[in-house]
Amino acid sequence: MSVTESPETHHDHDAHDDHPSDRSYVMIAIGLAILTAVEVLLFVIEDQIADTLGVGSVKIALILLMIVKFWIVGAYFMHLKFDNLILTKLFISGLVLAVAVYFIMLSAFEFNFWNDGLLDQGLPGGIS
Amino acid sequence: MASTTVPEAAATVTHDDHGHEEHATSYGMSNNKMAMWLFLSSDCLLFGALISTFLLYRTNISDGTPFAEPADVFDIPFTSLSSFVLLMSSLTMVLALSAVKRDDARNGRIWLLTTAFLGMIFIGGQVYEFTIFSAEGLQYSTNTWTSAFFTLTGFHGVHVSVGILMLLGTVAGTRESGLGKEKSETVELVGLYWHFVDIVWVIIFTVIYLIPIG
Amino acid sequence: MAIVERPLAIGAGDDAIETNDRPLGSVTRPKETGSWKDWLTTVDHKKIGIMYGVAAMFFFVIGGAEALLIRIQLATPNGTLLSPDVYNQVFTMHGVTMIFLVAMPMGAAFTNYLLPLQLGARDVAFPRLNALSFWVFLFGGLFLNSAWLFGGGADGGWFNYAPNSSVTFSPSHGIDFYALGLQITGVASLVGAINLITTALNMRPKGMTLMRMPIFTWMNLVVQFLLLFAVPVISIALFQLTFDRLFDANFFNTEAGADPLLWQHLFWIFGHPEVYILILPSFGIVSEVIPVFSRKPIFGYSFMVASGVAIGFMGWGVWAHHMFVSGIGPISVAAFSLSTMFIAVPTGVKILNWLATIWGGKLRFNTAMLFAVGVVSMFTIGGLSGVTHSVAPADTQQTDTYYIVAHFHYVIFGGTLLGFFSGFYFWWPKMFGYKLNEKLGKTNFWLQIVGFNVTFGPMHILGLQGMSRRIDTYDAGFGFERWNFVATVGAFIIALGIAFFFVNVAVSRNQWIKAGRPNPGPDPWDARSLEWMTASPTPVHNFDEEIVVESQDEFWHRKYGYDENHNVVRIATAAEVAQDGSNTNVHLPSPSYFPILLALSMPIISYGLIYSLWLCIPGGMLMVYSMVGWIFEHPDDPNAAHDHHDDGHDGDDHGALPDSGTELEAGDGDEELVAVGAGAVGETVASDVVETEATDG
Repeated sequence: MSVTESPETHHDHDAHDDHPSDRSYVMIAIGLAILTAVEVLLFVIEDQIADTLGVGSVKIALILLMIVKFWIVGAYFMHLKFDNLILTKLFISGLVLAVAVYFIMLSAFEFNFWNDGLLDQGLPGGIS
Repeated sequence: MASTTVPEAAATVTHDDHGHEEHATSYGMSNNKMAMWLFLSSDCLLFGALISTFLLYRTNISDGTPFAEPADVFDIPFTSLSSFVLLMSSLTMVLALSAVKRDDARNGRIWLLTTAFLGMIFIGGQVYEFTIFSAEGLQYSTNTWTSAFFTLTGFHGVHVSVGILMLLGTVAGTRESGLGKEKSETVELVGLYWHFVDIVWVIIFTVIYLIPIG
Repeated sequence: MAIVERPLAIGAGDDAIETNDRPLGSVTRPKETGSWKDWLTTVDHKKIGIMYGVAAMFFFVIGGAEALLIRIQLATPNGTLLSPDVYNQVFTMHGVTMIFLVAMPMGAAFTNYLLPLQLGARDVAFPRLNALSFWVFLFGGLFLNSAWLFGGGADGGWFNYAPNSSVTFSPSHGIDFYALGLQITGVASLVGAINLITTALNMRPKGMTLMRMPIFTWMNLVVQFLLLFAVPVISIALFQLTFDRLFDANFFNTEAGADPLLWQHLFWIFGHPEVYILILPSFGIVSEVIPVFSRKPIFGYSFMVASGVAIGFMGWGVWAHHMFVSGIGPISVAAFSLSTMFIAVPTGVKILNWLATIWGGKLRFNTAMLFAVGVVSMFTIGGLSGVTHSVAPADTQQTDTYYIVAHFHYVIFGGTLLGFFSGFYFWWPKMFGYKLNEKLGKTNFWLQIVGFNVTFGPMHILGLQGMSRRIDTYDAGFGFERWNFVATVGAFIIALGIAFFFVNVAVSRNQWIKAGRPNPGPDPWDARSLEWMTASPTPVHNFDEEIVVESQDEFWHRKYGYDENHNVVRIATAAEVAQDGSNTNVHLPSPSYFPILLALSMPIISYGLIYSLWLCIPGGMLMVYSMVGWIFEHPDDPNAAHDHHDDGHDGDDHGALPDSGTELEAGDGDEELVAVGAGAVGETVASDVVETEATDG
C-alpha cells in the first residue's frame, strides 16, 4: 500500500519495476514456440516412442509440456510473477479447484466402468 | 498521468484520464485488476466443465466405434499452425502493453491491431475447420463427440471473438482521447483476458488434439 | 415503495457541462431525484439491497402459494386439486423459486446492504455492476416464472435430471424457461460474486485486517467465492441442456450414447456448494445477532471464520452424496460417504461456538434473538438428519422419500429462512429507521416455528414409512393420511406466521409515523459492528469519514473499556461514537440507465431462443447498445451534486435527511476526482471504474 509514497513511486506501485523487457518477451515467445514444436514433434513420432516407452510416456510428456507453457504465459505474459501474490492465489484457487473437481468427476465415471466390469464377472458391486 | 498524491494519511487519491480512480486499496492494486483475475479464475471452472465433457465423450460414440485417435479426425499440421498464431498473439499483446506503458501510443496501436489480426486468423482457421468437419458429415448433432467438440471449441472461439472486439474497441475508443500511459491498465486488463484465452487453447490443443487415446 | 418528492438540490445539474451525459446521444444520464425512477437507475448498494429483499419477498409469496397448493393436494388421499402434470410443475417451480429466487437473493439483499457497511466502505467496488446484478436477477426470475403464461412451468424437479429433461419427456417449453432463466440468474450471481469479493478483499478501511472482519462479512465472502466457482459449472450444464433441447445436441441424449450421469455430476458439483451458498449468509446473521443479544463477543472468532472457510472448501468434495443411488460405483460411494461425514465437523464447530456465546451471557430474547436461537436448534435437527444421509446404506433407503424433503426443509427453512427473519428484525431499524413491533414479532416467530415443526417434522416419519417425494397423490390405507394432514395444517400455520410479519411491518410503520417518526438512534441494540456506527437509517453516503479500525468488534470497543479491576465499563455512548451522517461533501457514484437496459436484453434474447431467433436481434442490439453506452458513460458524473441521486433511500418513511443534498461541491474541474471531502481527511469512496472487461463475461 502506498499511503505516503511520493508521486513518482506511487503510480508504479504495482511493482512493475522488474518487468521483463521487450527483448525478453520475444525470447519467451521463442521458447514457447519451441515447446509447441516439441509437442507437435512428439505427436508425429508418437508411434515410435509408444513402441519403446509405452503410450503413457507420450501422454505424460505432452501434459508436462502443456503445464510448462501454461506456467510461462501465466507467470510472464500475465505477469503473475511480478504482481501481488493475492492475484496468483485467486487464480490458482480456481484453477486447482477446477482440476481437482473435474478429475474426481471423470474418475467417478472411470470407477463406475470398473464397477460394471466387476458386475460382469458376478462380483458384488455397487448399489444400483 | 495526472497523478496527485495527497500527503495526508489515507487520503491518497490518484486520478488519471480514463475514469479510473484509485485510492489506497487493501492490496494496493485497482479493483478492476482484481475483478478481472476473479473472472478468469471463475472461467477455469467453465472451461473445465467443457473439457471434461469432451473427455467423457471422446470415445463414447453411439455405434460403438470410437474415433480411433485424434490423428484420424484432426488436421494436426493445420491446427498446429493456428495454435502457433494464437500463441504469438500473446507476444504481440505484451508488446502492445509494453509500448503503451512507455507512452508509445503509435506502437501500442500497431501491436493491438496485430494482436486482433492474429486472433482473426485463428478464428478464420476455426471456421475453416468447422466447415471441413461439417462437409465430412460431422455436424453438431451427429453424435456426442461432435456436440462436445463443437461446444468446447465454439465457446473458446466466442471468447477469442470477444477478445478481438475488446482489442478493436480499445483502439477505436482511444482514437480521440489518445492511447497514453494512463490507458495502460485498460490495455493490461484486455491483455489478461487475451492471455487467458490463449492458455485455455494451450490446454485444448494438448488435451483434445495431441494426446492419444489408446 | 414510494418516495416523497423533495426539492432538488440547488443547482444540481443545472449548469452541468454535457460531457458524458449522453454517451450514445439517446439515453441521458438520470438527473432528477426523488421520484420512483431513482430506483431504476440507482447504484446505491443500500437501495439495491432493499430491492433484492423486496423482489425476494415477492417471489417468496409466489413460492409459498405453490407450497400451499402442494399441501392442499396432499392433505387427503387421492387429492384432486392438481392434475399430476400440474403437480409436477408446481413442485418444480416451488423448489426453483424458493432456492434461486428467494433464498439466494435474500442472502444477496443482506450482503449488498451490510457488507460495505460492515467494512466501513462507501459502496461496493463496482456500483453499476451491482445494479446490473440485481436487474439481471429480477428479470431472470420474472422470465422463469413467465413460463406459467406460456404453456406451463418446468416439470422435472429442481435438479431436473437428464434424460427426463429432454424434449421427448418434457415437450412443453417449461424446461427451456428453467434452463435459460437459471442461466440469467447465474449471470447475476457471478457478477455479484466478482463485485463483492473485490469489495471485501480490496476495499477494507485502514486497520480492518481480514481477521477483524465481522463474521457476517466473512461468511458472505465465502459464499461469494462459492458462487464464483459454482456458477460456471451450472452454466455449462444449463447450456448443454439448452443446446440439447433447442439445437439437437447430444449431451444427454442416451440414444446417442450419452451418459445421463454427466448432468447429475455437473448439477451437484454446483448443487452442493449451492447448499452452503444458501446457509452461510444465515450463519453470518446468527453470528451477529447472538453476540449482541448475549452481550458477549462471539466465542472463538477465529474458529468461526476457519470453520466457515472449511465448509466452503469441503463443500466441493461431497457432491456425489446426492447420487448414491445413481450407480456411481462402490469406490465413489465410499469416498463421498466419508467426506460427507467429515463436513459435519466444521458445522458442529459453529453450533458449539454459538452455544458457548450464549452460555453465561446476559440474554435478551428479542424477536431477532428468538429467530437466531431458532436457527441454531432447527438447523441442528436438519444437520443431524443430514448426517444420516452420509451413511450410504441408510441413504439408499431414504433417497427420494419425504425424509429427504424433511431434511432439506429443516436446513433451508429452519436454517436459512429463520436466519433471514432474524436479520429483518435485527437490521430493520438500521435500514428503515424504525423498529419492528416486538409483540407482533414474537407472534410471528412462534407461529412460524411451531408451524414449521408441525409441517416438516411429520415428514421424517412419512419418509421412513416409504412415502416417496414428488408423488402427486396417494391411496388411503398406507398410513400416510394422518401425518399428511398434520403437515398441511402446519403449512397454513407457517403462512399465518409469515402474514404476521407483513402485518408487523405495516403496523410498526404506522405506529412510528403516528409517534412522529422518532429516530431509533444509530445503535438501538447496543451492537458491535461498524454498520451501527452511522445514523439510522443509513445515510446515503454511509459514513461521514473513514473509520480507522483497531480491533475486531471495533464499534463495541469504542463504547466500552475496562476499569482498574478489569471490569467492562461504558466509556462512551453510541451517539458520541457514531457518526451522525451530516457530512454532505461526499461525491457518490452516479446513477445510470445502462444496468437495467443491459439486464433487460437477456430475457428478450432468451424468449428469442425459445420462440423465434429473430427476437434475438433486437435483444442483441439492446445488449450491445447498453454495453457500449455503459463503457462510454463515466461512472461518476463530475457535474452532479453530492448526494444528489440517492436521498430518502429508506422509502417514504422519513423526510429529507438533515442537510443532505443541499450542499454542493461545484464542478471539480477534474472529472475523475471522486473523493473530495472538504475537511474530511480520507474518504473511502467506491471506485466504479471502466468496467468494460467485467461486463463481457
